[in-house]
Amino acid sequence: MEQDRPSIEELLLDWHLNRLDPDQKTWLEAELDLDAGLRAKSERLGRFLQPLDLWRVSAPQPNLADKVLDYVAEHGRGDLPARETVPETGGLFRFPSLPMRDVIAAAACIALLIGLVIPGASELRSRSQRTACASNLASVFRGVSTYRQDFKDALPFAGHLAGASWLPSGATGRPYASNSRHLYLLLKLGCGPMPGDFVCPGSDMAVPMRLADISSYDDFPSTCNVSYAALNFAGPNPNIRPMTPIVYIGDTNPLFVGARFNAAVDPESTNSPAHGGRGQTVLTLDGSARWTTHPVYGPQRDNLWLIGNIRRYTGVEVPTRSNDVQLVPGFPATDPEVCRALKH
Amino acid sequence: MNAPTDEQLLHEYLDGQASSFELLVRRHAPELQSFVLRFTGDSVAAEDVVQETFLQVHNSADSFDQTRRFKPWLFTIAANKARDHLRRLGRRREVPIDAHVGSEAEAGQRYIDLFSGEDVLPDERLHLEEKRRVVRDLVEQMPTKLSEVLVLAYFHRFSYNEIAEIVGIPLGTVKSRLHAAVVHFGQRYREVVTQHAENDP
Repeated sequence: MEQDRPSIEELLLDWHLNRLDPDQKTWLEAELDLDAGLRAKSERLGRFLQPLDLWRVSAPQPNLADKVLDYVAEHGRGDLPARETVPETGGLFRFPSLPMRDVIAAAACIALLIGLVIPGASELRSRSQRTACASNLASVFRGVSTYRQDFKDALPFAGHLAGASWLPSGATGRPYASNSRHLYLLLKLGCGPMPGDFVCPGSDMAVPMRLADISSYDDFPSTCNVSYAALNFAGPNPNIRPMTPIVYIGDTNPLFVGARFNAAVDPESTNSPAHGGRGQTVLTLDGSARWTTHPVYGPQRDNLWLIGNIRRYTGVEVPTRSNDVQLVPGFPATDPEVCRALKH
Repeated sequence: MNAPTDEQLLHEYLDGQASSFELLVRRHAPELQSFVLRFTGDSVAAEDVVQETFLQVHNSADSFDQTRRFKPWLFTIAANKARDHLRRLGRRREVPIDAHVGSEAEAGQRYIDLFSGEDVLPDERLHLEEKRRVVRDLVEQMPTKLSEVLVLAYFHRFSYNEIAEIVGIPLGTVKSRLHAAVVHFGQRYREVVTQHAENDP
């Protein structure tokens, strides 16, 4: 019935909360592409919802379930049959039967102690690498801001190459156009960032390109010189003037390690390999560089590794929505061994 | 092999298999605790409510309608106990939804209003921890009727039907309360960050 149909504003909220059915979702996303006013409403709603993502509650105590089970055993009506126990050992050494929860608690304590003592240095190093990445991306942002002032608010864009693939090992018979050539404009035009700002300190293959070489190239000369993945600008009409502060650049996309699409990687749960798979640093166009431990990011729950819901890539896929971010690396063809040699 | 469903586990438990109850507790206690903690803002109380909830599951397992889903039932019990806890403390305002949001009937109109006005939230001056505190305080100070729907929908991703079952209200009321909660939060957040920006130019 007419009065039961949700308004488009109601559908927008359901879209932001990811609770539309597939048909409604497809319809609404098509409307969003066509209707700038609706996009503005959606982005406004997204800004109001976004702060909710900041609300964290402390994790429950590790022994919460055991406390609950003890409580129920003590106060419950009737018997709660005994829980699983560790079988007694035979032979010379016999240990008393231990409830599973005690074994788990002891194992957790041991793991905690080991975790406190041994990986301390490693954790410190890892944090410092994340901080250095965030600082790199902040420098890139300053360069982007300078570029936008000079180019009527456009993001660095090196042009569209018709029929090209952005994946060198992708669709056959197509020319290859690296996505990193757009980012390279920041160096080529002297917008501020230095070559070292494009290499991740966590990578064992990263090495800045030589300052003296910048003017000789139109893209980073080697994979070793650019660790980060940037907004995919493939297609004839890329989103170079985004209306909202979408993600622009971040640690590399795990689907394309080694310049090949890897179908075995689960894009819903896999983090960038740059920091040991624990997460990735991403820069949004409001200038904030954030560490995120999940590839689905922001109030619109966009997957940073995917265009829409496309799961297989040959390099000809292009984003069709203005707020659909896919981060893709550039793939200048350089043997990893060469990178290692350069590094050392 | 697929993991047994919650409903299968409860059925097994009623058949005398204690490990199935243990599995249910281990499966749901952490999420339930997060829900109650967001609801009450008190980690000690949240733990008590989780314990009481599973105690009731144990005591009332044989009254569970096995044609229904277990998880909404579990959260229904927890929401009732959390509400009782807040009522005992006298902390929550069981008042009309509030002056800003108006009645549930008006919530739809207020929700539409959210799409007009200033576009920029002046919250860049707030540090991340300050923003987190503001968000937590605003949701905790929200009328219970709104905060429980917001928490169930936004953080626990229950469907509208499940929220209706958990809270015990009609489906249409779930939607209007969710809209009211979003409006309430959006307006208050804007007020707080604007005030902060004015006080700290």
